[in-house]
Amino acid sequence: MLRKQKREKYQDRIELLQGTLDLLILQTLQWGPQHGYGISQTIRTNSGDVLRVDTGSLYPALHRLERQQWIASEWTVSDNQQRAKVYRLTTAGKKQLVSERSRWTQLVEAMGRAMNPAEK
Amino acid sequence: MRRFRRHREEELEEEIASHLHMAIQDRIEQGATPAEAGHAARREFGNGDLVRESVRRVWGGMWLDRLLQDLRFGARMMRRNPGFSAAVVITLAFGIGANIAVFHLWNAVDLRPLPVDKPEELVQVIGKQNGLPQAFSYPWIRDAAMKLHSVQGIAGSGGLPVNEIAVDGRVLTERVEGNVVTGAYFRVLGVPAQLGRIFTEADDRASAPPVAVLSDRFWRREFGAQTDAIGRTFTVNNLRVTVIGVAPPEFFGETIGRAPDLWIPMNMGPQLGMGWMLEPYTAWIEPLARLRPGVRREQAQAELNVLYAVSRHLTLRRGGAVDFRVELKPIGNGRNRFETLSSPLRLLMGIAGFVILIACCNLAGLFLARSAARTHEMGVRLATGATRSRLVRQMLTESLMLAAIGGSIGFLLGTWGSRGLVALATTGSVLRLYPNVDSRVVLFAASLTIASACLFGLAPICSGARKTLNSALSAGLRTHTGRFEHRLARGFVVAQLSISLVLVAGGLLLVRSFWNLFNQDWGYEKSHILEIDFAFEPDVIGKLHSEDYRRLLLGKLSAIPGVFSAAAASEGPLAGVRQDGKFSTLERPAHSGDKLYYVQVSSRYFETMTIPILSGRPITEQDMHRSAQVAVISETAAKKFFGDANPIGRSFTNGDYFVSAAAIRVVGIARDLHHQDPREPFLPLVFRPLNQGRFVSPPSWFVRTHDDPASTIPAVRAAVKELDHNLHIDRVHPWKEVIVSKVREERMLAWIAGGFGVLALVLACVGIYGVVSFGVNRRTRETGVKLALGATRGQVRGFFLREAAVLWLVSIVIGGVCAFVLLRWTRSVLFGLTPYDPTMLVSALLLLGAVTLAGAYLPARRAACLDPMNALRQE
Repeated sequence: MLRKQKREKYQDRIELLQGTLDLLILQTLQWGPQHGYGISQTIRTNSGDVLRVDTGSLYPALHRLERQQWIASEWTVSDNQQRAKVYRLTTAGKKQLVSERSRWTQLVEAMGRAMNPAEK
Repeated sequence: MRRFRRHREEELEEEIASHLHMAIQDRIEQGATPAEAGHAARREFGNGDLVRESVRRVWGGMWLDRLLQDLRFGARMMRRNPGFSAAVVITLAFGIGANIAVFHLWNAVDLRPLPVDKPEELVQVIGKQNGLPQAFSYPWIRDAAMKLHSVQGIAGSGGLPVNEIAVDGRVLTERVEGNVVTGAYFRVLGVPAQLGRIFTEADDRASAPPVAVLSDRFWRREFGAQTDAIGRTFTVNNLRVTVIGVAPPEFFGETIGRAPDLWIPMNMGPQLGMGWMLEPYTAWIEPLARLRPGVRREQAQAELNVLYAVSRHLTLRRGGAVDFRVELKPIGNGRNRFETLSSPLRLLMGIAGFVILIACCNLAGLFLARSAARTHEMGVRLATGATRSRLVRQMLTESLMLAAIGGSIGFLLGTWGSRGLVALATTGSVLRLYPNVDSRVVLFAASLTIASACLFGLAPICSGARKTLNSALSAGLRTHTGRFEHRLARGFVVAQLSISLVLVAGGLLLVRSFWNLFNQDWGYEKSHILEIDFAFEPDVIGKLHSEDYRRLLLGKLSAIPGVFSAAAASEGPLAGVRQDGKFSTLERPAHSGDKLYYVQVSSRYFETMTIPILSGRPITEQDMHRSAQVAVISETAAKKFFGDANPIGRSFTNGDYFVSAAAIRVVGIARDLHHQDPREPFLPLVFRPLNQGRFVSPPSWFVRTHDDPASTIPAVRAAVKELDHNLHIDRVHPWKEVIVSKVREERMLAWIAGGFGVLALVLACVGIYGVVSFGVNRRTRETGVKLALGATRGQVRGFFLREAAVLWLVSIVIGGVCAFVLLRWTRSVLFGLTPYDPTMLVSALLLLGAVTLAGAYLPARRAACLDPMNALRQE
């Protein structure tokens, strides 16, 4: 099915904070190693096409996470004989993911309560 | 590194390309044409350059984040182990501080150039007539300044005897040092004024108003560092001078050891009562010159040679001088009054180097013990994802942080301690030294800190690098914990003890040597005597040559209450000047190799200086009036020239042969005394009455007091002033001070080496404590088993003490060998003992043993007092 590419208006783009992008990437890799393109597609799909990560944010994030040794990379050959750099979650990364998720959950709860103070 | 960077860039390109490729493939699969797919994919990808830039920024910025993280981790580790951190910092502070204190002094004396512009262009002008050194006169220098082309300027400076100085009507009591200089002095040296202006040629004229440039120190002290000091006046030797400038803070003149408080143009000499300074026959100046850029010393020397020959009438010519030559010596580091300090300072630097080595061994042991204790923690961290390189890097960061703190404190300690060193180096003299912290000292401190950090930081890294995940996690369960670390720690302790042995032995040798030197029989009493030096002025010298005047002065001095007697000598026993002479008897003409010295003394000299007369009589007042030529000779002289025969009544001549017309009769024998150098054996001395014989330098004056000599000083000053208002005293000081200043190098060495020896012993004790403690902890279960199986506490204690004793034994073997090799260097400074003196070496061994025992005792006792049940239960 052909999807028509709409030019998004500036206001429609949701700016992702650096920390939340890290969380998304780690979460994505939890389901298995992926290359950069795959990660961006997965995030897009899983968020219902809302979160579109642009490459100017994705690749720096990937390299930064790799530097902090939460993900590791290696070059593999894909099925159609193409070389691709594939990232996977490390043990330390798994720990980081767990702590980030709980922090995110807390943040979401807090935001929710702050936005709707009437609810108890 | 560049290959790595290129590889990184290439990989990024490939990654971007593969991303695009996959994006395009996806779109084609969904039905777009290749062209459409390409467009869309690229558009969605965005700006490739932006992507590249942002990734590069990530690559560049990571190191700062990592560093901050490591620093924070290091700080946390330090806070968690305050005792350990404190021990490390204190040990380092003392080790580095010791080195910096010595280096600071060495830098000030030997290494640093004068704080002037381009010191490499400065030369000292040494005149030589017939090969003998001869200074220049003021007229010659002024003439040369006008005629010379190869130099930018030539200037002279000389000491100004400051007899009285008053600021704001207040007479200053502290000793003030002044210099008279030619007009071009500051310009030749390249020293600008901090405030006001420096001298010009116009200031150095008889008609010019009297002006002065102050030193920074003097300006701060007497003028309160006020800018309005310029233009104010004060009086020097009854001449009112105006302040026209203040020299920069680091400037102290051109002589190391002298730091004048004020400079005055030389032409003011006559107005200051020193007309002789400007006379052509007073050749008293050693000029300085600054070469023109590009001119070599040989060229300038050639020009000066010609000038010297041509204008020699303007300066003093020695009788019979035919060869007039000039030698130029580079003087970028200044004239040095501390030459005798150079080799002791180098020795001290070597000793200080050993101290820091000991400190590093100590620290390495500490770090190893801690590293072993953290084995389990390391294992956990490795298991949860840290890499070994990261652990190692964090340990190194912590070591460097501790080193930085220890080094900074050490730096402060060292600069403060160097003041004590300066005091030791200038004891009893008028020399002054103000070391200031310059780039050389800072660089030395920084390199030493980093080198130390590497030395002791390597140990835990070696241990950390060996850890594998398995061994680390299971460490708690086995008893093989830390075996490698313990062995390495023991190795470090042995190294430390060996070096300590050398240091302690050296310290003992130097202390004993000074004790020998100072406490030997000098031939005269050390206390209850005052020495008086009168000002080096022609009028004063002239007066003191007159016998009547001298008698008046001696009488006045003896009459002071509290004074036993007064006397004078052509050279005091420690004046640093010697009069050569010959001694010929009828039986024995003078041999060419004879070394003996003549001294002319007043009556009561021997009783004033407490020199016993062994037989015969001393020089008396009658000898001064009579024409008979008499002398008192020292024991050594008697033995040397008369053998066993009684010299009293015998005669001799001060010449190559005995001449009865010039015969001098021996009337007494004095006990031997040290004349000018306490390090030499007693020399033959001949004492003659003060008016018989020629002497050129002004006499030294002595006063023997009943009580403490220092308390009599004001009375002496008052008495002299009462006698003659214009008889200016340069210095009055207790004789003991003079004696101490004669041996100040040995004294300095004794104090410093002794102090370092004590430091080494303390560090050794700490080191032993650490390593035995470590061993005890390691063997807790084993000890528990032993105790449970019936071993006595004494046996357990003995086990650990024996371990320490083995370390001591090994160290003294290694240390003994090192000592044999290294202590040789102390031979030149030792007095009364050899570097291999058995008493000292054995004492060093025993001291080290005592310290080892002391350090090992507490941990051994702790092991012996273990509760077996608890010990066995320990994991």
